[in-house]
Amino acid sequence: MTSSILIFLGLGLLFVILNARSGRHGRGLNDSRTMLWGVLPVIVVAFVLAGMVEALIPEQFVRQWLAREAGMRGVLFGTVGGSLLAMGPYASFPIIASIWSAGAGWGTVISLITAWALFGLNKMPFEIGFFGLRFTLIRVGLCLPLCMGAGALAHLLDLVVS
Amino acid sequence: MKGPLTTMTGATALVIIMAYFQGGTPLLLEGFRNAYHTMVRAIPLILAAFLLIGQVQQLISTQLINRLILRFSGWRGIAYGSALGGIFPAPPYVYYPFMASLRGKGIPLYLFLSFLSGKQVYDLARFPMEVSLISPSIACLRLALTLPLPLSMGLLTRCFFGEASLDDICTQHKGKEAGV
Repeated sequence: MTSSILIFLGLGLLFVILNARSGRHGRGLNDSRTMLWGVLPVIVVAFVLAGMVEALIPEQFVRQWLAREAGMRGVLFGTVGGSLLAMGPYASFPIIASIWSAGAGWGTVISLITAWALFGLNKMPFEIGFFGLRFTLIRVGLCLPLCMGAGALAHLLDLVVS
Repeated sequence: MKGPLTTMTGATALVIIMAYFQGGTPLLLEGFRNAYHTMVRAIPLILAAFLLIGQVQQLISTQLINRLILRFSGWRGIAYGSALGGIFPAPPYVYYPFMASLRGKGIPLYLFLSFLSGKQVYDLARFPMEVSLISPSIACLRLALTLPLPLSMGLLTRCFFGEASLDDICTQHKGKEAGV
């Protein structure tokens, strides 16, 4: 975690210097502050929700449906669950983190994130609105096996590593 | 942000009530303790992540991406499209209209899907949040495993639809809707 903070700070400062050459660094800092201020309430509520979900999920459920032992069931659950998470990253990620903390396997978590990123319900209205249902069905049809493949690969890695 | 906040607050209230009925006050306290510990651990990373996101958004402009995406085709286009999608700094309500603005220019469908998948899978602006809110190891594993995904998406689309453009697909859609 500390190394991630240092990497982000280092990159952030590097980009501040790069933007400073065109005088846009101030606007970037202002954007950061405005965005953080805007999403802060969502982040705080998401953390409370995630903490509760972590406490609520029964161990038996995790073992049966989400953990490494669940096998491809976990990947399938992750893919369906991820596509149903109709929220932005600030709200979805703490929930995914709580499922991970509760003991979910790599396959489940990777499928959850990938399915949320590729066909989360929060993006579908925009996509169908701008490009139509046919475009969306083609995209989802092509994405689905790739998403499940990534989850299955993560599950295999989990088995090999453990 | 009002919509998501209302939904989240409603869901949280529901889960708090469920936790109370399932385990009483001890389970509620456990939930709040979990939330507090995760939040305290994530705060420095969230601040650093937002510093980075704000600067990235200034560094990469929509005009720059537009210029680059129109320059390439074939496998090189797929690779560039995926990478450009990953660095495109915008939420869905900006990148979908941006993509729609490229309609009518005859850009092949596979380039659009590479760009869109690159945006959704790589998303440079979202990755810091993934690291700070989930876990650095999971975020890196997810990125490594899904790295070939936008490229595979582009290749698969090219394999199935050849050089058909986005307009061809959308026109067929409109045509069917109109009963043509």
